[in-house]
Amino acid sequence: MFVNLNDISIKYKMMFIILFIFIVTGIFTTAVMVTYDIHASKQKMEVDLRFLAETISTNSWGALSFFNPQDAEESLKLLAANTDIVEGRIYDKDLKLFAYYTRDDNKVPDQVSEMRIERSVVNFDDEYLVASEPINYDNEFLGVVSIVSDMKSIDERINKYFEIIAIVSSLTLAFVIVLSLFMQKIITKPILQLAKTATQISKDGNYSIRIEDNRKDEVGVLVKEFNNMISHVQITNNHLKASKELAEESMLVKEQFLANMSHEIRTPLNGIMGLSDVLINSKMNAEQTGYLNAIKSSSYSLLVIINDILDISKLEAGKLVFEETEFNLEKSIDSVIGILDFKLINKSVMLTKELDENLPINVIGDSVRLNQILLNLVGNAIKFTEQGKITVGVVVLSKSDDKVELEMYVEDTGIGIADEQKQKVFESFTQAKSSTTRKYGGTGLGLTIVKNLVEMHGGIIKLESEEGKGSKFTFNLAYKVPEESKVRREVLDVAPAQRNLENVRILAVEDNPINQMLVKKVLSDWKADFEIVGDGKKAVESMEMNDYDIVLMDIQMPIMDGYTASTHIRKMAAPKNEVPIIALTAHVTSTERDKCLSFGMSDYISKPFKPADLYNKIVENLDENQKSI
Amino acid sequence: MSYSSAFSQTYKDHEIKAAFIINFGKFIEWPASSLADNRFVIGILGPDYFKGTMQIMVRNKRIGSKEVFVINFITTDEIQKCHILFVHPDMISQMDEINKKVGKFPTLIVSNYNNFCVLGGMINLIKKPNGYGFEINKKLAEGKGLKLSSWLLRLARVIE
Repeated sequence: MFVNLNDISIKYKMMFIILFIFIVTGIFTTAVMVTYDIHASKQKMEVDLRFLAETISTNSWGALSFFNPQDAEESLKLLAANTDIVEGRIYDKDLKLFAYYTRDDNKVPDQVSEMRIERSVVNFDDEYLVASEPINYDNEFLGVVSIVSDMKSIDERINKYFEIIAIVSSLTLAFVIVLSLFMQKIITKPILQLAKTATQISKDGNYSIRIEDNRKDEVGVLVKEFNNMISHVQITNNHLKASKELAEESMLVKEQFLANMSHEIRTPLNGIMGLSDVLINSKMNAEQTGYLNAIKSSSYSLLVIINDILDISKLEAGKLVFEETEFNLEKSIDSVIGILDFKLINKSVMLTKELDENLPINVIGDSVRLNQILLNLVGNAIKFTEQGKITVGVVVLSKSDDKVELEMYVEDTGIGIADEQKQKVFESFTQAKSSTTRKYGGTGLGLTIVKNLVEMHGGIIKLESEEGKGSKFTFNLAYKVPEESKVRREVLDVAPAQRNLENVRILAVEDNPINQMLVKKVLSDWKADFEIVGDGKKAVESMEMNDYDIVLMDIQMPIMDGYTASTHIRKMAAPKNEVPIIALTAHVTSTERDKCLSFGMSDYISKPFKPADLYNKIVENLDENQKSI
Repeated sequence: MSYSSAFSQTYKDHEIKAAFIINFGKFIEWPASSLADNRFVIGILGPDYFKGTMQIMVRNKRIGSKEVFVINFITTDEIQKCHILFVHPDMISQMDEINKKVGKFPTLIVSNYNNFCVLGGMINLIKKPNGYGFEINKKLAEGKGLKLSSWLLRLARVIE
């Protein structure tokens, strides 16, 4: 089993290190002491043995001189006093054994007992010490005494030594463990404290916390550096916060600016387009009608460009929301062709549609965005095609009860796009060549918006093109298919002549005189029973005095704005508080739409509106109100 | 365990006795005056009890720093100054004459005869179960100015 050292807690590492040092020191000390003790004991034993041998030698003079082994053996009995001695021998001058002593019939190996005449102490295998001493008296050699000692006492001493060391070590070990448990806290405690603080900081995000610890050791350095790091993080964090706030603020300012821009530009455009319509419908000669159509077309182009700019900013902010309404696909394509047809007047180009026969009549999705895609693609195709034809086609890729997947394409016989430019044309503010911009104009945003819109629908847009021969943009979109039983809203397709709001009581609140004129014209055409007031305050007063079926409410007005007026209306007694209010505003952001709804308004239409759109909104909301009643 | 049998096998009786006599010289201290001429004399009275071995044994042997001489006295008349005098058991009856002849000289008189020490001898060699031992008439020997070493007394049977 192998344990990674890094995974073991410092606590145990410390204990291990302390114990390791203790054990190594203990073993070393014990080894030295035991070695020394053995050495010293042996030396002492040698000295003792030699002294004994000398004594016995002296005591044996008489015995050897007078052939008295009994007396020699008596002398040898002295050895019994020393329990280490296992054997004693006295040899005579002929080196024959003269006297013998043995303790406990101890068997000493022959090679140990072997006699030595010279004075010596010999060590046998660390098991026996043999001391030999020649016996001389009056210059005469009488014999030899030889004493054998075993080392059991030394062994016993060493054993005893180890026993004591074992006991002392165990006690010390226990002490060291307890001590190291306290010691390790000195190191691990500040580290754990550090970790705890770090956790606290990351949990609370409070980077002003500092660890108060003025120790000067390594942990102190760690703590100091930790504090420094947190200071840096705090500073950086504050910078980032400030930057984020600034960015968010800038974003808000930008949005506000866009909203204002949109309002400021759309209001006059609304007037131009609306009044052009009014004039076209009045009695005009052909030349005048032509001019008015040109005015209308120019205004429309301007509106498209403004919408492009607003859309691209919304796309980039990710704020675009798709609606899900039921619409007629073929009619959408027809309307795109109808809108752009006038651009073909001076060109020998034929604009046609090719529809799959399996195409469902109605689908559910965002018709406005589809129109935007097609207007851009067809608009481009017209712009870059001088002669030949432009085809808008729809192929059904798959179809189930509630879903249809379509492939749509816009094909032209125009100037085409070079291979190396194909990818670039989808980037913002890019056209195939800068010379293209000079020749054909345009913002360069169209294809970027188209690509984004398709991709946000979950589709892919592809471009096939050959320079000089033409281009084909293909994209796929998936739509829900409404149930067969569901009745189409005929109102959506009501022709202008058939629009009728007879007996519908409408309160229009609008401060701009041109817009007032426009509202007055369309509502009169639809035979509605209406009243126009110039600000929110007058609107509230009118509501109090009269009964209305629906309110058209401008937002930006003097004296009292649309939000406040709506709030007042919603506070009135029933059923006045339930009257549908349609906001008419130049603010086209989704924020604005949410704001309108939050002030109690029922629906929303952006200016400049097309009369048909307004008509549909009014009818829808009247229906809704009747349903809820 | 008995080793004396080993000695008896190796050495003959008279050889052992001769060795005893010579070794007495080593364990007894004579008055300095008696050793003035640097000789240590062992006298053998009567027939040669040791059959000539004593002469052989003292060859090249010294007692202390003294050269050892062996002199055989056939009769008591022949007795001269000597440090040890071995009296042949057959001559014990002439102890009075011997004492007279020795006079005041510190001669150690040794023999191998029953009750020799009671009869005026100083050391008597005796037969023991495992070899030989000796009796000492300590008073008599010390009276002559001889100092008996403790090693000797330890081995001896002291006769008062």
